[in-house]
Amino acid sequence: MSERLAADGIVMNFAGLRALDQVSLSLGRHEIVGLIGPNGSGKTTLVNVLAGALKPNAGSVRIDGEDVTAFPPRRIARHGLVRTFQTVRLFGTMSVFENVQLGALGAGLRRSKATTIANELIELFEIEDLRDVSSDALSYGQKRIVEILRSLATGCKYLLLDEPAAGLNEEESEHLLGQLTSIPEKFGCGLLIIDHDMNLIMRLCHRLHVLNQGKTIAEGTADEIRANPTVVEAYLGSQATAGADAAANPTAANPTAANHTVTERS
Amino acid sequence: MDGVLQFILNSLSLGSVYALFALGLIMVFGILKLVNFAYGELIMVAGYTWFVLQGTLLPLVVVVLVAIVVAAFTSVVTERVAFRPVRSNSMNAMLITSFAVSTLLQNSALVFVSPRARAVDVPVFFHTNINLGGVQISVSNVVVILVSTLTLIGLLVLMQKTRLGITLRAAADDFRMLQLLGVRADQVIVSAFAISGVLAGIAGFLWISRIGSVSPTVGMAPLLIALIAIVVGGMNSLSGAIVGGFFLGTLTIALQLLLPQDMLAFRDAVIFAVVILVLVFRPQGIVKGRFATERIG
Repeated sequence: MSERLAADGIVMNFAGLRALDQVSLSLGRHEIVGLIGPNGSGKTTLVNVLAGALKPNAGSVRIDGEDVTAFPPRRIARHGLVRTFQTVRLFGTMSVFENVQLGALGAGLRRSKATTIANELIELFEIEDLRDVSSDALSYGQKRIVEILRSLATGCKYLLLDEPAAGLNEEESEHLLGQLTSIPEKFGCGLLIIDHDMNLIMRLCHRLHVLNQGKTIAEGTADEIRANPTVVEAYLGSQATAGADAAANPTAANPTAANHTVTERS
Repeated sequence: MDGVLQFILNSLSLGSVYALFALGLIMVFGILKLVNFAYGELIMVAGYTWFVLQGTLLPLVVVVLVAIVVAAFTSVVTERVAFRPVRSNSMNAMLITSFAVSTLLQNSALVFVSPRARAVDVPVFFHTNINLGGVQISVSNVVVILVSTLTLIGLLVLMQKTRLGITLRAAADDFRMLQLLGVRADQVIVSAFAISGVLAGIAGFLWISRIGSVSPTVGMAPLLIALIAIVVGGMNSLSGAIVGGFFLGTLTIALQLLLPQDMLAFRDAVIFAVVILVLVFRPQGIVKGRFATERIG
C-alpha cells in the first residue's frame, strides 16, 4: 500500500439523517485536493471522520495502509494526520514561536529539536518579525498562517484545512494561496482543503472532490469539475451555464454561495 | 523606619506563603477547571510526614524534602485513583470527588494519628532574630522569603523554559487543541497534580513551621486562603495567583497592625469585606485573564 490517506465507503448517520453516504476519498502526500460542495453537504463531517472526531457507521479510514478508523484523534494525529478548524484555534496566551513549537512538542520531539523546527518554519514562511508576538495580537490572516505552521511542525503527512480562507481579505487570501501551494513538495505533506472561495480552490487544487447531500457527485481536475453539469447544477450555480468565467467566480452567480461568503467575511 | 521595614518583611513573608498556596491550587484548576478541595490535605500530609520523621535522626532538610515528595506522591495518587476515573463525567462529579478525597485523608489522620494537634519540632533558630544594619529580622521570615523566592523562580523557569511547562500552559489555554497535536492528556494532568503537590509540600512546611503543630484540619485554612487568593487575583493565570497571594498576605499583616486590639477578633471579617469590595469593582480579579475578557458578550 502506497503512502496515502484513504477513506473508503464512509457512511455517517445522525439521528436518521444520512450525513455521508458511501463517500470514498484519497489524498497523496504530494497533492492538494479540494473538498467542495454546498452548505450541509457533509464536508466538515467528512473531515471530522478522517480526523477521528466522529466514528463512521460504516467504512474505513486508512493512513498509509493502516486502519485508523477506531483511533482517537490524538493517535490519528500521531499517525500523521492533523486538522485545522473553521475558526482559528491558537494558544492565545502564548507567543507565535511557542505555538509553532507546540506542534513539534505534540509529536513527541525534544524541546531543542522542537525549537529548531519552529525557527526553521518561521524563517521559511518569513514571519520572523512575529516570532515573539503574542498570538492574540495577530491579524486573522496571520493567525491562519501560524496555525498552519503549528500543524506542519508536527511533521504531519496529511493536513486537513477547514475553510482556511474564511475571514481573510483578498490580499490575505492571495498570500495564503502562495504559501499553501508549496507545502506538498516542501514538506511531503498532502493537503485536503475545504473552502467556498472557488477562485482559491480552482487555482490551488490538483484535484477536486465534490459532495452534495452526503454523496460524492464528482471528482476530477478543476477544469473537469467546471464542465461537469451535475456540479454546476448542485453547487456552482445553474445560471453559470456560461461556463468557466462564472464558475471561477461562483459568488456572483449563486445566491447561496454569495451569502455564505458574505457571512464568513463579515 | 524600623516599623516600615518590619511591615514589609512580614507582608512579604506571609504573602509569599499565600502565593505558593494559591499557585498549587491554580496549577490543577488551570487545566481541569477543578477546584481541588483535597488540596489542603496535601499540606496536612506534608505536616504529618514531618511529625513522623522528626523522631529519627534525619536532618531537617532531608525531612522537609521527604515531606515534599510524600505530598507530591499523594497528589499524584489521588489523581490516579480518584480523579481520573471520573474525569470524563461531569464537572460536579470531580468536585464531589475532591470533597470525598479531602474527607478520606482528614479522617485517616484522625484515625491513624490523633484527632488532637501534634507538635512539630521547629528548630529553635527559626524564632531568633538577626541584626541586619540595626534592624531586627526574624530568621523564620528570612527562611520563608528565601524558600518562596527560590520556589517561584524554579516554577517560572519550569513554566517558561521546559517542555513540560510549555505543554502545561498550552493545556490551560486549550486542552483539546493540545491533544489534537498529539499530546497525551493523562501525562499533562498527572504532571499538574505532581507540581501542585510539590507546591503544597513546600508551602505546607513553611506554614506548619509558623504554627508549630499539625492537626487533621491543618489544611483547611490554607485551602480557603488559596481559593480566595486565586479568586481575588484572577483565576486565569499564574500571575493572578501570585498577586492574589501577596495581596491577601499584605492585607492580613496591615490589619493586624492597624486594627485596634478589641477589633482584632474581626480581622478575617474585615479581610472578606475588602475582598468583596475588590470583586465588586473587578469581578474578574486583579489580573485580567484572557478568557475573562472573551466570555463577555
